[in-house]
Amino acid sequence: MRYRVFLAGWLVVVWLALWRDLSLANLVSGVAVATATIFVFPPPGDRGRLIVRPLALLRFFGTALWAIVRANIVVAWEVVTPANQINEGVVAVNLHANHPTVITLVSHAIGLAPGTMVIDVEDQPDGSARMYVHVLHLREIEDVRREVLDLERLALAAVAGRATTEEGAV
Amino acid sequence: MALISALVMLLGAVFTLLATVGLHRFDDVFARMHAAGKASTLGLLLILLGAGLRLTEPGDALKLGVIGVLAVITIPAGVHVIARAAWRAGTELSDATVCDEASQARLDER
Amino acid sequence: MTETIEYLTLALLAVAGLLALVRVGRGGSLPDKVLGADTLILVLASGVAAGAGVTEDTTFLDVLVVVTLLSFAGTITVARYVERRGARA
Repeated sequence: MRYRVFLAGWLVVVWLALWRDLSLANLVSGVAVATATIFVFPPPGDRGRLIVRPLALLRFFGTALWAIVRANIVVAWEVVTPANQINEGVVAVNLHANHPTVITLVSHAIGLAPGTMVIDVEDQPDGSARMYVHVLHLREIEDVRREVLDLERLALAAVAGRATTEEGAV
Repeated sequence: MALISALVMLLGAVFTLLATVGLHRFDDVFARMHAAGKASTLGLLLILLGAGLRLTEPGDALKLGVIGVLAVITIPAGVHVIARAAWRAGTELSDATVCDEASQARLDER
Repeated sequence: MTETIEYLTLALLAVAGLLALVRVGRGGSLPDKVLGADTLILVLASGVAAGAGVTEDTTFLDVLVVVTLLSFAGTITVARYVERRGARA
């Protein structure tokens, strides 16, 4: 239910932005349209309850935004320097979480971080998820795994309320 | 203020240009995705920021903010979907590949 | 001074668009072309935003919102097609 309220709030923001005129009439009409939309097209039910911690979520977004700044400095350096030292690689990482929202957040953060990109995610037979990460400069496989699991820990703290990942699969 | 806005937009244009130069400089489709996805996201964000410094009406700034949020959500996801499609369609990695655990899994499946 | 920077910005974006277009035409495999097309749309969106910032004309910002969303939907659709078809050029 809180998720729907959050979605409706976001729709109201988009409505106000499209109308460009932040007046009370637009706000009221925006709330009406957003509520009607959420009513008519309810968001798909997710597989498990999410416990959102706003502070941890902000910390996750902050990490992701800082990651994209770092990534672009790296990309700028790479595109400009002539030496071709690319050691690509695809690393398999076993995630602890199985919830689609957590996997989505982690994939996004990996996509924004320097040198990494998610190629595929597979469901393992025991219920966990296995993520294949493409790395542009592969030095140590374990470093990549640690980076991905750190991001996953941040994401779990943000939306699943877990402090560590050892408390069982989400 | 117009000068600062123009400078920020110039920086955004430089990053976007770097993204497309990266499309040509790398010879593997996955490496190209790294450059194109990340650099064009930041390029667009910087240009939006620069335009926002100039169009300071709240409605316009809010619109630019919404576009920025949508960009950060959709661009990495789009690049990932292309990567996954390329991978599942069987695109080969370049010769510079050092380690490939996913191909191992793909071979095992066959 | 400001005008020179603005012209330079738009010129750089034009060159970026041209490079992306070349990748669409030349690309080694189908995913390369899809990536080039996606980047081309992003460059176009950046160009519209830069134009709005330069001329202080906000008419086309609505176009930006729609273009961002549609490019996303289009990329996903084409990617699913590529998955089925194979990556040959």
